[in-house]
Amino acid sequence: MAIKINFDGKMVVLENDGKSSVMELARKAGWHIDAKCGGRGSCASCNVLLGEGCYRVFTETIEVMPEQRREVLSCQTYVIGDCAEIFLPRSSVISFAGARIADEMDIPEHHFNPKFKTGFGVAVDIGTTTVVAALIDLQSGKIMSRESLYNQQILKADDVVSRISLCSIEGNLEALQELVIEHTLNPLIHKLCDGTGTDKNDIVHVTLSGNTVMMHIFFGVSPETIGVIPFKPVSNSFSSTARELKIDVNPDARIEDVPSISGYVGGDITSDLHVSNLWKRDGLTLLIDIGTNGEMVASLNGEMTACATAAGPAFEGAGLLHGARAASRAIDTVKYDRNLDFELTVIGDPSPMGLCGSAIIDFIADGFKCGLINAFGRYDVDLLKEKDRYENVKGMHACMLVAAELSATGESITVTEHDIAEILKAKAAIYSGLKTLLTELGKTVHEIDHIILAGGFAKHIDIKNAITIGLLPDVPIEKYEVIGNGSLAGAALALLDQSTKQAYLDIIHKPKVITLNKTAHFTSYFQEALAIPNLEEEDFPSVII
Amino acid sequence: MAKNEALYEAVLKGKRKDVAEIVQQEIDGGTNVESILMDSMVPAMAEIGDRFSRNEAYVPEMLIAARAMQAGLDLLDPLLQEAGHEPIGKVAIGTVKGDLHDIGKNLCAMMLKGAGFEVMDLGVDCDVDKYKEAVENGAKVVLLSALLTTTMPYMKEVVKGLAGSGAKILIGGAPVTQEYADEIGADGYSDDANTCVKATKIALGIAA
Repeated sequence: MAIKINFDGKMVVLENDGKSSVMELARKAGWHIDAKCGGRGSCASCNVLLGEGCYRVFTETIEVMPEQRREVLSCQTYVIGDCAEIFLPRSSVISFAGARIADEMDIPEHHFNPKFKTGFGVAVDIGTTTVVAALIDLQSGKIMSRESLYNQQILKADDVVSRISLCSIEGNLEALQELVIEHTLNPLIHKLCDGTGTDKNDIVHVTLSGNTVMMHIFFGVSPETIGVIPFKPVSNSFSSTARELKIDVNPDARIEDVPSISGYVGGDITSDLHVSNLWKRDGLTLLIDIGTNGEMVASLNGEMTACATAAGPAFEGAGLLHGARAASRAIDTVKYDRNLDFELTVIGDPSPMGLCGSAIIDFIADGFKCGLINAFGRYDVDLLKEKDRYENVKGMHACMLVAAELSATGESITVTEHDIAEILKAKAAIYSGLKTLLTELGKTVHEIDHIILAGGFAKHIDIKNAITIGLLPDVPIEKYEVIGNGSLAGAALALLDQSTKQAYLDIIHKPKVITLNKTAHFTSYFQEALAIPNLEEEDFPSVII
Repeated sequence: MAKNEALYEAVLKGKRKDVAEIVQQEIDGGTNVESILMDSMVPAMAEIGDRFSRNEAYVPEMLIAARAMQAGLDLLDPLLQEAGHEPIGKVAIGTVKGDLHDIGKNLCAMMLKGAGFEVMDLGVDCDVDKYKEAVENGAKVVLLSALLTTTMPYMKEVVKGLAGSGAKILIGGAPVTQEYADEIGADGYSDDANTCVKATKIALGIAA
């Protein structure tokens, strides 16, 4: 008499504690269910199949007969009694295997003048999706090792806004804080120490860089005020001790963040600005951090203006039918022409399970160039059928990239028109954000002198393809510069040179922050940017021929 | 005028310049302005809304079509008013106090305009007084949007504030559910821009 949970040919047997949802039971069995809406029952990312047993779904009691299957939201379902069988579909389970390291960073020239002269420090970039940590020897300044892990908060909710919402319900702030410290940062610290033979008690200083909401939650402060007008953070900067925050290093270690600029423009941008010296550049330079929360800053002869735009997690593979995070078994590049013979590369293991963000950008760009995908993101269905690439997935037209027998999941890997629409919304958010920013400065995209791309994702995208789909401005490729993970570099600098802290406190007052929805142009720019590359064709002279 | 196929297609395909051109030609040629709107443009938006509901069209296409429709409406609006055209209903829409997330709200507003409603777009961060004012100005249906669980409770305040005014209240947004609508006594709920048009028609007793 027990609850049997099945996934991928394996079965785990548990007792019913009477108070855990099916989602929580699956987590106890070792499988993490995707909960995009934060387990409030308003999305369908956590669907599971119920086998024989008795259940409560929302407020209804249902009984499932032997051989019967019933699809439900696992976050809203509880087992009644001791006996039940639950099947987890692949699409609902998050894989944590082999995260690709988003840790490539260039640390600029600096004075070596750490606050603590002996022992070790840890620099951390706390992303909405990925957390990266670097262990640094404070005596020599040497970077000993780097590790990355997904921010385990994604188990509760994907994006910043849903996490803010969660914090309005009692107990969730503490739960999110525990996920990022106990289940993300502490394991990273253990990996760093084990890999280098370092005693964790020798770690005396930890610096963090990340968006404003992530910092609030990390320090146990509710970010709710950032969710409502006028989006004010409780504070721009926090500090504490390892003892207080239960971080597994020397209990007296000092924990500090890189100060944030506003509620939606965080310390990660402060770091990017410091690392790139944005305001010291002549002319018009644009810094874009392509992440779940697309933050950007324009500098016009040293005067900076910043904004943030809600791109969502689509570029990180979330919300797409066969999307994958940029990890082992993800397709990361795609190349093809009208013959639809897809040339793919896969990270790590050769049998793929899905596409990550860089690959879906390639897919849409080449599809648009060869006529498979039109300007509104719709397929040439006749061409798909002619080349035996057509599939109909839940009533949606889809292109099959990898046949079932060649994929790691045993199912074919496809891109649906809905997936393309999700990417178009995400790229429209970024492009219309930067165009609005420029309009506010009285400039156009063609007047940009220089573009700096920051963020782990930026290192891996094909910039030409990103221009083709209309994500990035159509300026000569030489004008682009990629700085990689500036946020991690910024946290590292705060360890290596104690004067950096003052530099950060000066930087955060420099940018003027604008709210996009309040501008006259954002909504129409967003609509224009939904097409490939854009309805304003003069913005993309090299794409529209 | 019966349906102008070229205009219908131009709205459907989101061709803004073509829409403006054809509408201008029709106006210059003396076609009844009400007919231009109701016989060609409104059916095109209804078609794209239905395709959306059937998973045959997606948000980008719908927004692009709505933008093309707006180009035609900009030309028609002053003439419709002159001709004493009665919209099929007058409605007001806005995100509730504290909430600035308006993409969903904008899409609903466009689909409502596309269906022939007169839409008072109250914008973002609307308090009870703003909705009240809209009802005083003739709105028969008030549509409230909230994206956050932290701003959603304000919907209840609006329902209380508008009690007895005779206006119907519809609510929507990511955290909003039918259960919540029932709980606070709203007249209806919709989970996307196309069903929002249907819910508005039902609230006003217009055949959908």
